[in-house]
Amino acid sequence: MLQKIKERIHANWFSATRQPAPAHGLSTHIRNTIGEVENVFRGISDNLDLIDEKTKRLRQDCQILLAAAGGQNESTQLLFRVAEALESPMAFLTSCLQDHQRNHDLMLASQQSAADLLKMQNDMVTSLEPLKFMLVFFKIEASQLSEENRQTFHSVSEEISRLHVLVDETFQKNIRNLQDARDAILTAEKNSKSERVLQSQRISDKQSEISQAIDSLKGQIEANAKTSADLDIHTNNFESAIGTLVMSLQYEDIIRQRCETILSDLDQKPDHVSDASWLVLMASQIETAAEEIRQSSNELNSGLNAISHQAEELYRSATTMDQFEHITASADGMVQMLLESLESIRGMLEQSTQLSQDSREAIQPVQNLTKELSAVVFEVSIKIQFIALNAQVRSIQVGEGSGLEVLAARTADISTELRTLGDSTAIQINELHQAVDELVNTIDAEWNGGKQQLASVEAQSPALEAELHALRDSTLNSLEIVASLSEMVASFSNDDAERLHQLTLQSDKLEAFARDLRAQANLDQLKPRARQKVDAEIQALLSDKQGAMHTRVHNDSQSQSFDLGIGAHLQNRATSSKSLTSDNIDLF
Amino acid sequence: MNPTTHSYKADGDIVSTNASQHWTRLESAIQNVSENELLEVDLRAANMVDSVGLNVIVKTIKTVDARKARVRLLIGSKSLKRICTFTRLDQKAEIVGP
Repeated sequence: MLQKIKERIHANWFSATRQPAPAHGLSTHIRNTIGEVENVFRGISDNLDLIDEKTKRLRQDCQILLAAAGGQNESTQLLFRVAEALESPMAFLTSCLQDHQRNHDLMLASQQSAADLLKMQNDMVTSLEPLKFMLVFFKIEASQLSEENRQTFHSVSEEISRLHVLVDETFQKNIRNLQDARDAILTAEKNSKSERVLQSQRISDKQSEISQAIDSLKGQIEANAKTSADLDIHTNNFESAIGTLVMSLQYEDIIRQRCETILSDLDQKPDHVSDASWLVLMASQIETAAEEIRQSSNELNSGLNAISHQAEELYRSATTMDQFEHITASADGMVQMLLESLESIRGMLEQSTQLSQDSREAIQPVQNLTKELSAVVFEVSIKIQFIALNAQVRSIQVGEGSGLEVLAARTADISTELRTLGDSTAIQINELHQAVDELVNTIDAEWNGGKQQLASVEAQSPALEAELHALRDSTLNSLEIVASLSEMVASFSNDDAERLHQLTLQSDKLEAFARDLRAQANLDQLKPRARQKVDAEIQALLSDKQGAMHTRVHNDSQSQSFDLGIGAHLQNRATSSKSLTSDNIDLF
Repeated sequence: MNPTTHSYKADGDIVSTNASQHWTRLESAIQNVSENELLEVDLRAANMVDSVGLNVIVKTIKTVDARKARVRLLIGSKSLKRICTFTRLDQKAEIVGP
């Protein structure tokens, strides 16, 4: 026990009296260096923490986009769903266009029937013309007859006269109406034809556009399923660059350990070690620390440059997004095209329904007229037959020689002629009636179908449009994240580059201190033998120190994993530094 | 010779809540644009344009294009500039700023 106390007093006395004088301010500078290193590394770590957080979010968004590019998520399904929703109204409009040829034929047939009817009506009027002359003859003949027979002639001529008035009025009106109807059909046909031609072109273009976009999307999905997207590659590279930088942050432990060892050694020179050896050992330790700081600074700087470069690549890739052009990115892309298609389909259905309504309104008077004409022709035919029969009966009553029998016979001829014409007219009217009815039914069916399709599109569109907008907003949001990540990295790189420059200055100063210590050791003045002894002593001391120093760990797989765990790395480093510090004190 | 320039100035962001109002005003501005003329759309007051707003801009460019005229977009925010690049609007209209 006494011996131990003596040894301790001896050691303390010698250490107090025989310590070599270190360069002035060295301890303070080393403490500053430790603080500076900690600040720089902590600052870079904190920045990386923020970048890591954004990268995680970006990775999630990229996964969504990549899944969309590969057709594996709801986004792509949405695009197909919208395209499917457009199929039914598109098919309906196409069938309307196909039906239009039939409508066109029906309209032409109706127009021809109306023209034929017009001619028949004129023929009927012509057939009834002789009645005018007959009335004159009746009057001449009647003047030569007895009063009784004159009355009979008179009553027959009155009937013929009334019939003539009826025919004149009715047929003139019918001719006018038929002419109007014919004009209405022609106008409706012309309007419908020109509009349908335009619509046909629009529908054809839209169908082709959608079809091409869907084919392109399918092709793209197929291609993307086989190859990695640029965005994915750049995101991986970016994460890898961050991982490399995180690994570089291990330098903090080494530098700290080195500096603390130097600090500790400065005041604790072992008795058996010469001053010169100790000073050279200190100088050597300081030089190593300076070199490590310089290397660390360079490595971090190059790591930051790599991150900065990868962030730029990622940004360039995100803003280009060639692989997503047909999905969400381009103004001509799937989302925009489908949004415009939904709008134009609504417009086309509205237009188609309006066209049907216009045609229906144009045809309606013709349909009414055919019913009216049918009744009028029948009435005229019956009346003339009745008059002819009446005239014949009266002529028999009056007896031969009165001339009435001749007139009655002529009236009967006209009646027969008119009945034949009436029968033909009835057939023609029936044809027109059927054609117009079919046309009206087709137009009604189109109108009803158009209304149903329009209602269906209007019911589905808002939700589909909202989903498409949400999809594009999500993409634009991802773009913003990439952009802000890139800006953040650029800003951090500038700040960190300045910090790293400060570290280099610290390193320069440490090297100046090392030169001072070597000068104090004054090894050049030693004799060769003494110099050999000192060199050997220094070598042994250095060997001890090197064996006890903390070394860097390289872990490539860690840099490739997605979760960089920068927070955990920070914690580990802090713990490691503490344990190293206490261990080192024990060790040295 | 400089083409006749018509202009429209957006008073703020173009988003889903006000896109239809912007379109109504833009549509009436477009009515005055003739062949070879220029429509200058000032978006410098807009910091944000969402998908619905983007639709309005795309529709404006397409409608003006159909009239064989051109569109110039005056941009004030980097974010909007990015969207224009991202959606290739910069290939369909002249982009000025920021």
